Amino acid sequence: MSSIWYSIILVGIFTFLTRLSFIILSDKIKLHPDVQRALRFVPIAVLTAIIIPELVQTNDARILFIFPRLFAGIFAILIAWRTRNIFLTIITGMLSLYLLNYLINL
Amino acid sequence: MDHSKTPYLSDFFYGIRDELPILVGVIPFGLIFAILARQAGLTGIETQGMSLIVFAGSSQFLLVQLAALNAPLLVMVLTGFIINLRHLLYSASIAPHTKDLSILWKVILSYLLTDEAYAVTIAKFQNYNKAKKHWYFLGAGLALWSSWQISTWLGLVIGTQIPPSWSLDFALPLTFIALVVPMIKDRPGLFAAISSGLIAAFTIHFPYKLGLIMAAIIGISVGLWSEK
Repeated sequence: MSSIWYSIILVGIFTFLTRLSFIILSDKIKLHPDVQRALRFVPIAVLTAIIIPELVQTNDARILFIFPRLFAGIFAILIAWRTRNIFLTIITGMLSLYLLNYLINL
Repeated sequence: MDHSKTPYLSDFFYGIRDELPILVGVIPFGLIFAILARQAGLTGIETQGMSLIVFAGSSQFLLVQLAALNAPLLVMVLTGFIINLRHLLYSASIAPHTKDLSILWKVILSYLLTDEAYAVTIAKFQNYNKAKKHWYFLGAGLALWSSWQISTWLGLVIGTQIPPSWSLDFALPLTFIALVVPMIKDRPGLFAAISSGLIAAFTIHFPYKLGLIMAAIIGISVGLWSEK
């Protein structure tokens, strides 16, 4: 068995256990009320922390200080805020990235 | 469709339906993953096996990059573990909604607790009180699971590099934008997002993606603090 299988299986087990953790223990442990209130911020805080690094990576900046992904992302945020439409947000974001890349390459 | 005799089926289908737009971002991600995995020297079975067993896109990408560098097993496992710590937060956040389920349900739903299934499900659950709502989670989770497995497989079949100029990888952060923006409904939520985003931007070069979990915890704390 190649060593990649060991890492697949070990990471798979750890990932599953972190996902299972509170779900399986929920009837045995009681969370502090402050912690319970904090949980409502989990999706906002974690997903934002996943999004932002994707917008500010600089490896596709062809001109100094021009980050096409950042501006396309900001535009997508505005569209998501005004329309709350997932398809429209993705399409506008992709199209504005293409447009910005095209303009930078002119 | 009339699901009046089987109300759980309608929840199941609502879950699938709500997950469908997300797949626009997920399917290119699966294709790109499989192509990168083959380039890093993984076999087709190892690649599909990783999508089945690990079933977490971001750590799969890191594992493949580390495999290409011949990184030691300990580094790969540690990295995979740290980047998946956010699932502890997801688990804690979804647990109040699953506490009355059987162990089998808890095990199945935990396996399906990806970023994308979590985001769709928690958005629904935050104002949804129904006895059968776990069927909604199952529908969303299975829709995501199937598309991840199929797009991995498709990437193995297609096998050639997708031109980087198509920027298909950008579809996934756009999907998360579409999910998270409507969740921000008040000032504490906005503060949580801004603080988490700023920390994530400034910790982007931290090893093992430690910045992600730091940003998340600080964002949550700021949200909680600004509520008072």
